Amino acid sequence: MKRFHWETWVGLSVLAISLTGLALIPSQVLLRKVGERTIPFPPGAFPFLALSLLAILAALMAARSWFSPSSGREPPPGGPLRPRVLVPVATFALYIFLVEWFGMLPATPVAVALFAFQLGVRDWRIIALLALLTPLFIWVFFGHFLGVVLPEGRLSGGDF
Amino acid sequence: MWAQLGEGLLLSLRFDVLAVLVIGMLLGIVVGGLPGLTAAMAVAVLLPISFFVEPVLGIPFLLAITKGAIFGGSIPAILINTPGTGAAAATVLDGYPLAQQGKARKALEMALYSSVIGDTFSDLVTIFIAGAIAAVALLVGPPEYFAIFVFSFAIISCVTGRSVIRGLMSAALGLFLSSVGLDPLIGVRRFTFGSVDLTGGISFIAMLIGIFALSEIFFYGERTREERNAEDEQRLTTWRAEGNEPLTLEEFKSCGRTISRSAVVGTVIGAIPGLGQVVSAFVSYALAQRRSREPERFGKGSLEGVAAAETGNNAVNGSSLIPLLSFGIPGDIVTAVLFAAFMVQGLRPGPRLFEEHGAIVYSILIAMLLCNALMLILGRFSLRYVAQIARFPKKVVFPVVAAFCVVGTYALNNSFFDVKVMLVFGAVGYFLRKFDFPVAPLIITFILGKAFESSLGQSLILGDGDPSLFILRPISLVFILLAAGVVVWGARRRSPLAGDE
Repeated sequence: MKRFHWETWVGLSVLAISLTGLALIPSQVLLRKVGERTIPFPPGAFPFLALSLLAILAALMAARSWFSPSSGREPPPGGPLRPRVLVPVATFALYIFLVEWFGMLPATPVAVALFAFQLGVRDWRIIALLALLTPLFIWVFFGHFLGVVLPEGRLSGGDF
Repeated sequence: MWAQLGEGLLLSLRFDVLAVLVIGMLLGIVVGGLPGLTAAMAVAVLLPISFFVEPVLGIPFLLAITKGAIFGGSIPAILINTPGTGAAAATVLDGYPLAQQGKARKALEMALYSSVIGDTFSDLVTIFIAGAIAAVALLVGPPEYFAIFVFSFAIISCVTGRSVIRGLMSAALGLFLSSVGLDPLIGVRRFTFGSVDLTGGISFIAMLIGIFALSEIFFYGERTREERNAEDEQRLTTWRAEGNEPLTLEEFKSCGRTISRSAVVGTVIGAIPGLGQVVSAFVSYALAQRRSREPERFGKGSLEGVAAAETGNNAVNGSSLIPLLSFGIPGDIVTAVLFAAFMVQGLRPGPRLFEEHGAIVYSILIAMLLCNALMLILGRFSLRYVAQIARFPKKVVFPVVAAFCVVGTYALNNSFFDVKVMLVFGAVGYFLRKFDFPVAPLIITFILGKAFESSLGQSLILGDGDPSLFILRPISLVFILLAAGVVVWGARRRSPLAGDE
């Protein structure tokens, strides 16, 4: 049995997402009725065109790879999908969570240290330097010089 | 005109004018170099300063910030794969691979020289033939805009990347994402899923930072420790072998045609309201790839790619003032802020501006030329030090980049929602790169999507729903035929029948 090429999988996935989007148009394009005047280009037309084009191209992509003579064993051009990618994603999500609850300045040293360790830094002095200098720079440059109101965190009464 | 030009020259050569240009340029480079901060933001925040000084000081100050920011955006684009401004999104495509090959200084210097040349050309054109170019811009209505957008999308989708289908899919995705939020014609909500935050649409900066910077961090993070150490070691070895080598004269001369072409493209695009630096950068890049003797090097570290992108995006700066000064029509956010600066100073942009305040206007335009000279001096001096950042291993740089991504994205609208959007697009960017979908078409169709939809909708309203309008108007027809030609050419270039991959 022919093994699916990665392009087939991607094409079918994008096709499924496009069709879902098309199905959602009636419920997600909210048109307030103001009279019954016909509009040459209603609000739902543009997303319909874009999603239809995406669906057709995705179907073409899946069909072309399905009928190609390749065995389907090649990995994607960017390399095989690795579960390890979830580690930096989860670290970043944790950073966002910490900022939201504790504020930017307390959360940043923790997150920077975690990132540095996760990415392979093992010298504790470099980790400490990064963890201390980064929030300091953010506080001085963004907070004071540019006047950005840094998030304070829900536990400190910050408004989200 | 010559008498006013002479008076303007004398006004602009004052010491205080030069001082504000230096300060503005430095501020602009810093702002542009920080992802999440935009030229428009810096100009808007510092606009009130211009109210308290005479126009020959205040307006050049704002212009210097803009120019500095547009160039400054190329620095993180080259060094850490994060365009500091939207205009530098095309610079990333070849700038970052060059930095990874230990050629960061070459890439930065090419960006600097290309920026200065493109900007200077555009400023000179603005000074001498503003009126003639503005007359052409007047011929462009909604159907022509639509056709120009279609051509831009076609050329970018079909020239960048290895697959026309994937390029067009990327473009279609960008168009759909641009439709999230309020419809530009009637103002109804679309695909907001009840979220107030999405009513204004998806934040472009959050998307940009997510797709470029975060996805790069995720790509790096998924490698094993041994693979990361090997990559960092190889970068350092290459860096030591190549040293902090400057750009050679031969390398610069080899990009001469590309720079000339991109300067013209950027100047023409800048004169048309609504198109802007992003379109210019990508169109220049795409044309350069098409005309290059080594098109296969584009996307893998081509100095020509950096030259085209940077010349294109900077050449917009001068000519974007043409519709503003000649007709009072601001073409983008920055010129809209400048419009306010002109009005407060009592200089009403429009056809009579040159008649009533010619000397002041010409002094402002000449100050723009002086900015370019300053950019060359300041940039030349600082780049050899800035390029050193490329030596640091990614495992040390990326944690800091991650923090800057969060604060930069948050700073734009004081919105935490944007930070979450950035994370989502980090994942999107990861998958796009993993499956070899070009990012450029997505970015450009996203940023132009609302204008594209407006031009389509307005055209259909003008023609009472009859789409033959696009064929019956000559300029529109030309661009549609060009777009069709580009798609066919792109498909044949990659067709097995043509012997390509």
